Amino acid sequence: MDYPLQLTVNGVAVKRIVEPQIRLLDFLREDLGLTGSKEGCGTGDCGACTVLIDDEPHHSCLTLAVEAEGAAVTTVEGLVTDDKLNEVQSAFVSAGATQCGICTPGFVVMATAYLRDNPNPTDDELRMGVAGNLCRCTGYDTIMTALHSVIDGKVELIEVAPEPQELVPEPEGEL
Amino acid sequence: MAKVVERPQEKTALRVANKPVSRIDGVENVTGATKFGADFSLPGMLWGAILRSPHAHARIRNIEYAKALEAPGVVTVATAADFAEDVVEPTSRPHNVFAGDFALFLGEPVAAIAAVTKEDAEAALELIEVDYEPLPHVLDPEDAMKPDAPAIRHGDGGDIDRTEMSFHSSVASSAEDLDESGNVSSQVQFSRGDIEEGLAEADVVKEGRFTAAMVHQTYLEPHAALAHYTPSGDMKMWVTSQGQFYVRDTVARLLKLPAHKVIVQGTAIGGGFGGKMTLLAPIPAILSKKARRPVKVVWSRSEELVAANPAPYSVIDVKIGAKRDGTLTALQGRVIMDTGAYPGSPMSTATMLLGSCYVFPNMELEGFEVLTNKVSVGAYRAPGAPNSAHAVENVMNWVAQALGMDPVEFRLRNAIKEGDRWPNGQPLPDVGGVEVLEAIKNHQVWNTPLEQGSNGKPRGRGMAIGCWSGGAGGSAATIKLEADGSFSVLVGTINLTGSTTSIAQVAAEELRVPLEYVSVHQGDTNEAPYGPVAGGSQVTYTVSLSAAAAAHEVLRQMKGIAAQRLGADVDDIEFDDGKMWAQGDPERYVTYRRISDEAVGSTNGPIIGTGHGKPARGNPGFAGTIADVEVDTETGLVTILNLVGVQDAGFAINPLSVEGQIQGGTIQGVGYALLEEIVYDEDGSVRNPGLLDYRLPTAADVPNVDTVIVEKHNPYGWKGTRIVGEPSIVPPGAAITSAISDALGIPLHNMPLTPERIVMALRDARSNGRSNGEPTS
Ligand code: FES
Ligand code: FES
Repeated sequence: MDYPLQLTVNGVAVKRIVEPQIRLLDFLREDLGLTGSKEGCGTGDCGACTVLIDDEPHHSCLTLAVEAEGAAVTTVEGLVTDDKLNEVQSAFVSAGATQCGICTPGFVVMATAYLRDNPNPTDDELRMGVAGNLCRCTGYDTIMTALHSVIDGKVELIEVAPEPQELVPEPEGEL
Repeated sequence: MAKVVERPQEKTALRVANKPVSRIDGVENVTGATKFGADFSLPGMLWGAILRSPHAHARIRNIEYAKALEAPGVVTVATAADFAEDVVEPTSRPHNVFAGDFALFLGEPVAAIAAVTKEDAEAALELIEVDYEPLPHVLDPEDAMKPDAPAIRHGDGGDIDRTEMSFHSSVASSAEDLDESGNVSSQVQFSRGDIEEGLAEADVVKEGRFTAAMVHQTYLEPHAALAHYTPSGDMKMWVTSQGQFYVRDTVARLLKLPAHKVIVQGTAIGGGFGGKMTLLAPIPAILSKKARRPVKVVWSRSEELVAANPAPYSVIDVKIGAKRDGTLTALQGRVIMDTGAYPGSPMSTATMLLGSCYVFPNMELEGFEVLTNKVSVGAYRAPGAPNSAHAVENVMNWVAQALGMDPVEFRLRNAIKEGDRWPNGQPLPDVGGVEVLEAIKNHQVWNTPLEQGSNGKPRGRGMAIGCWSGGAGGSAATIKLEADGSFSVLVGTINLTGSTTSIAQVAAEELRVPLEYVSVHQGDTNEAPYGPVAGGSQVTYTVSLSAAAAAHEVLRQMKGIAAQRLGADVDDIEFDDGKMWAQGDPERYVTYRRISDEAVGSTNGPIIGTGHGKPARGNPGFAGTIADVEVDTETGLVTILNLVGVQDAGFAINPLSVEGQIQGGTIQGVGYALLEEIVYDEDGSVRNPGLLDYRLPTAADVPNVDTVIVEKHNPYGWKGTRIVGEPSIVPPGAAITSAISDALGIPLHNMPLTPERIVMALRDARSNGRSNGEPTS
């Protein structure tokens, strides 16, 4: 039985016919080609598939696409505004908080939501707050550095695809 | 971040090398733009699913899949029968894609299906009828060594393929396969001096038997591969793997295709740590060849935990003797390593590494690689070394304690140095073991006594060091000067650890341009020059040399053109910041852009240079850990209070990335020490095939790692670089278990020290009244 699904994904209205058993993660990745959300486990244990549904973080691997009917879904692809990375994304880049990068999309989505709701956590609270997101590469050190720089308001937003600068001007006259 | 630097002064100031640079692919990662293995798809693509053995050991009498072929969506089925007999090596896991006559572990692939959807493929697996005759199985290596144990394998013959282990360690494990009878697939011995005399000379002798659990690399990206066998007979592949050329060679051989017709693009890789090589790629390849359509296969996490190639379970006995003045006299060691159903474990390396950090005048080491009916093991970051260090370093701490010596001073007195020999007889180049120990000795944490807390929970401190030999493969890199004076670098190695950023730094440094003027591209196996597997910490070590050589070649060509334009001698050309000039006259210059223009129109053609590189030899990397812990004796829960990770990086091309490697490796060591273990049920099934029960460290489980980069110049690396990725995982397990021992006042022998194990060890100690330094059961 097919189901007519209507929702907003990263600000764009989407209308699709889906099978009712399809997971939101597969809908995003396979049907919409938004492969930024990752599957690390498929069982709700790693956080790599985290997306926002009406601003709340959810494991898209444990959510059916049809559960997002009428909702506004934000994936990692939707965090960039005005050609600038958001604070958490920028902080991740600057602090070296992304190594292989497979955990990064879910991590930045989760941390963006967490810090919005808890702007001033202690280090322990922050660590508990993101403990549902696993990272095998960093040991979390640089991720914590990145998130603390967001908390301390020390992040410079990074521009996506900035204009390149010229190296050396051509000298006057022929050589 | 403190630093101990010991290296020659640079003539010119460094431009971008040795400076922290955030990964050039960072923006792609945080926006979800980076494409990993599972992110590639093609029109008309099929999905594959794998049928796995439900038995730990069984004869396969027959496989019937006609019904599966009729199921909705199913296009083709592949089994062992699709591979020619002469390409299958029963003793090599990568060359034995599907179980043939025998399934040797529960979860071994038996067949695969390609269908229009993943659901179709998975549903049809049930329709494949396999006639199994279950056989007796053995799961414990010590049981498997008994003379009456059932045979794990069946008259395989043939040489054992140890290619994969050789990527990780350039050190020949000089020992031969002495005995391949029974379930012992390999055996090694190393000896020096007279062990009996050495032990007799000692004033203090301590010993213990240590176990380390089977753990999974747990890269967060499961194996994934897409294959497309095109009408012209090209096998095009997108694979997440640490070595695209290794995948290419394996697929070419198994499918009997010429190497140049197998075109593998290594995708961005979501972690590998030694475990992501070529286990999966042949399956979509054979399915695509049969279906004549693109086929993608992505493993689930439970397939990963049941049937990938985790790090081995081991049982290690170590006995160490020392004189009253702290001089070591003897080391006796015995390693039993569970290799699972296929040979290829790091047993000989682990055995040798028992004697790798200190000078032991007398030693006797032996190692046994033992087959069992479990998943075959593979490499995990410094394969075998954490197991070795766990045993040796704990006993070293007991000896130091019995001697009343500071454990760092005791180690410094015996630390291995340039010219000393490893157990295999190889003399060492200038290693940084002493410098790592000095950095620990001078560290503020080490010099601040650990105070007991007010909550009644005992606290303890432990330290350990360890080392790893690393790889030193050959590589090549190509650099082109582009029209605007920028450069593009082409390599064939996988960007596993941020090596792309380091390579860009090397090229920018040599070419004297800002980092933004260099881009690094990882070409597919037909485009790119050969690069070794990203294993053995060797990519940056070797490609920094080939990229520098390519830069020198490009500069040579550029100088020729500049000299002509400037009317100067080639040897007098100087360059920086994208311009060249004749010595003494920097005001009259030509830009790189102008040189590029000129070159395109010249008879010599556009500027492009290829460089070759191979470090003259491997040079081991040393690392050390200090751990402070607090133990809840009621629950057995361990809290790590301080964690210091020290490592000799030779010359840190990108300190940010080196620090990240030290932190990541150290926290993986925490997993070894406290949390991670693949647990088997009696029937040979994995009891915890998910990330809820196979527990990785989370952000809430660990503290920050206080890192110290030591830079002891390595004459074989670019500007003194040495291997970086692996050594940091070696000592933490030993240091943390030792800290827990210290807190509780009882010796502990098993990793991981889960709360359950700690509570049981405390109970044992109470009922036996044992004191520190004596083995418990
Ligand atoms: S993939 Fe959803 S939590 Fe791991
Ligand atoms: S960066 Fe690799 S898992 Fe987090």
